[in-house]
Amino acid sequence: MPVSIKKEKIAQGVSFTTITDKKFKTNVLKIKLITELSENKAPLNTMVAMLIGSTNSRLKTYSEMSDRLNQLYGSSLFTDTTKSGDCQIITFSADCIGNKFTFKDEDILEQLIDIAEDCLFLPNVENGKFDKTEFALKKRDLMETIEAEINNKRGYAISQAQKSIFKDEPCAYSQYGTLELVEKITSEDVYNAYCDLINTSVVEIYYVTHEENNTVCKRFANAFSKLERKPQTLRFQTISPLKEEVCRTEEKIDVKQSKVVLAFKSSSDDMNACTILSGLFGGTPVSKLFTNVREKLSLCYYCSSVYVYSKGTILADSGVENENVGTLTEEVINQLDMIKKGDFTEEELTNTKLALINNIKSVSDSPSSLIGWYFAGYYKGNIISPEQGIKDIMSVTREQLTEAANSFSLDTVYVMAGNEKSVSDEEE
Amino acid sequence: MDNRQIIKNELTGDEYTLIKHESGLDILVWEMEGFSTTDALFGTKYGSINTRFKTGSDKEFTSVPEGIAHFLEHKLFENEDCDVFELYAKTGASANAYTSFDKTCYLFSCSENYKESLDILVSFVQSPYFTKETVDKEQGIIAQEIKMCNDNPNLRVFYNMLKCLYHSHPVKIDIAGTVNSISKIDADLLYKCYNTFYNLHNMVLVVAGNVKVDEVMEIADRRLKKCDDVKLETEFPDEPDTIVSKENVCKMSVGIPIFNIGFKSKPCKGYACLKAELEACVALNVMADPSSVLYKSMMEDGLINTSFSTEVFNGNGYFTVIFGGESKNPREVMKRINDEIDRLKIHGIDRIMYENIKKSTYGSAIRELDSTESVASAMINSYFSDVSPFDTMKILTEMTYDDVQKCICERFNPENAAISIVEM
Repeated sequence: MPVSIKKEKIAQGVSFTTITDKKFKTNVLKIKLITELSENKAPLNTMVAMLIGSTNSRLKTYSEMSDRLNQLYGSSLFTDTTKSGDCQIITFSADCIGNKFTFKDEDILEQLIDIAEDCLFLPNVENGKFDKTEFALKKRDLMETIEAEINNKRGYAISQAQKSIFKDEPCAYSQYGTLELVEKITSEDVYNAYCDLINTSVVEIYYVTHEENNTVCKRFANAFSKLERKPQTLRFQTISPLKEEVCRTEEKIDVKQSKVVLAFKSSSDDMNACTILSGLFGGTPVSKLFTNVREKLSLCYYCSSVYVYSKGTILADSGVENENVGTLTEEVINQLDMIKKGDFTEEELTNTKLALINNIKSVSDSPSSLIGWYFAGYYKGNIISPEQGIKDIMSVTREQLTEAANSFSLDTVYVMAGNEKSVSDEEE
Repeated sequence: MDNRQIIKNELTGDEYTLIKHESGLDILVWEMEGFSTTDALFGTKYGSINTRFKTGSDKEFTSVPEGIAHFLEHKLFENEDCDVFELYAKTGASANAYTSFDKTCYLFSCSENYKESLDILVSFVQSPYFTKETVDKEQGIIAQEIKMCNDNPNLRVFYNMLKCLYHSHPVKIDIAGTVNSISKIDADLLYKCYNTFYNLHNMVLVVAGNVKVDEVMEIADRRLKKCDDVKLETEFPDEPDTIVSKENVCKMSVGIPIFNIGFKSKPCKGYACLKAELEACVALNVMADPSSVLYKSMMEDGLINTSFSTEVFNGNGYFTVIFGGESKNPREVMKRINDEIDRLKIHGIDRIMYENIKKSTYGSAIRELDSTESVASAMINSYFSDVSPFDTMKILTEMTYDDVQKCICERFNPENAAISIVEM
């Protein structure tokens, strides 16, 4: 069953990509609003996301919205906000099962699109302010989200580390903001942020469906063309500058296991080589970090790395006994040094490529991975088919890889230090 | 000749093949047209709760240390001559494994060379290799996994709730065990558990996605070693209907308190259990989904936030419905839930809401069919529960209002409820 892909510009700074594949049983819509990330605006945009993803002028409360979505066979409608480099991305998602799977051949798709359109263009606003009650609920929810960030220790360690790694860059800020900032936010501020977002963000819309149908695209083209849009000029990749001296930060927290985050920076523009490098370094269960730091030295349960394209940075992280923090840090640095010296086999390189290719070949098997692939292509300024992506990975040579590895230098070591005492002493 | 049976879902037109292989293993294959990915799971009905067992030839039951099923899962990845991940690396497949309360599964997902990966999967799970050195090495890795879990407040709040609810059923112990319990595991014990539970009569192989039944059979015929049924028996201590304690409070570094509120009720088996699970799931949503009166009032009063959720947790010998989330006043949340249960028992659930929730639950079942991974895991979960993956839709279409109302009366008893809280 062939997958067909069509991308059209439907308004100033707004593109609509339709992906048709008959094998799916659901329809999925994702609208990505991309804007610059800034300390003060990030929590406002997050509040906008929370409000437009749960209410609109007709379904004025989250309760009413949920009730309506249940009627549409548990259709989902939600937003999330992420940061990617120095940008903030608000993703508005809606999906439903195909009409043919309903009990009485109901047109639930059209009803869901009606709701989605209202959420985006007719929010629950009166006199230039979001509804007071819903605003207050979301504000408290956001504050509690910020308070609860520390509950996930691995995620918290990475987000704390980013404050040092990307110091003085927008990327250092959280997309949720701080308690102090959120406390001051008014409903009017959020409405102004909404207007800015809808008029000035760069908008990428993706629609995956099993039915050939152009009406969804037409509806959004019509709605967006009514706005006087002045889209921002955004840079999706802003290489993070390497610090003159390695920054070492330690934070003490009452936990049993310490967490270590290391950042290596580079200005290499060889995206494919950097991706393979991170895979070989710590991206698979046969990577240098997994086989040496975990399997040979038994230091940890997880030790892995990821390449952050938007900042030209590789992040490696692990959870370890406090007394082993030094050994682990040295070993992680040592493993990258070995790759720099070309100390890896041809087989290791081929296996890393095979693992990456396996992921790319699965892209066409779910609506969300298809959207993820094409959006990543857009973000990297290189929209290609998965087939081309595979060719690009295959073409990377050993020399390109060592060159990419040598372009990375250690920038930051962040340690979230746990208790010195061993858990076996205190609990048993 | 293999015994093949095609099982069809009339509602969606989907079908899969069940093969009773002569080796003693049951194999389930779901060919999904148009998909590039193949997902396979080779699992045994052996999880953390199976701490006491015997085979037909044993006189007495054997007790083993907590966490041994999970330890065994880690160790099976090491062959005599290499690490299993190295074998998979040559095929490009993404491989993994997991141990839950009642099963251990080895899996891979790939978009090409599935036959080579399936060959690796079927072979390595049948080739244990444990030595003192390899077991000692794993202690360090698993100890770090246990410490990571001990730092996870969401896991702690859940296990503490189970300890309040269950007197003796091993569901109350951590899946990975403790640093102390795993230190008692050695190669001999691992072989003992392996030879007892990794018997093809106690296992299943499921494959979904880009796959052909005949190709799976060719590998099965070549690699599966015919084995005799060891007449495995597992034993659970008697578990009273009552609970152990009403409350557990644990101090940890959290930004906002986390709670789990569990209602213990009678366990059940097979089709009746799936029916009870779905009724409880609909009941929970009618009572507490975001469109409910209870959710709305707790949200408006600042008692819960959007992390609030519900779950049905059930298996061999245990059945619990759970409300969980973050709250600055978790005890008041429990009071409101109990009040709402009392109200619903007297006045009944809202009929329109019941219909909507049923539709929504049915929609979720359809969505599951859009991914090879979820189809494969639906097959293995249903197999080990003695039901078909299509029974969910059948039960939902036949479910009545009275079934759900009865479920609330029988399974939501505030006398059998406990709250677990993790706070600073």
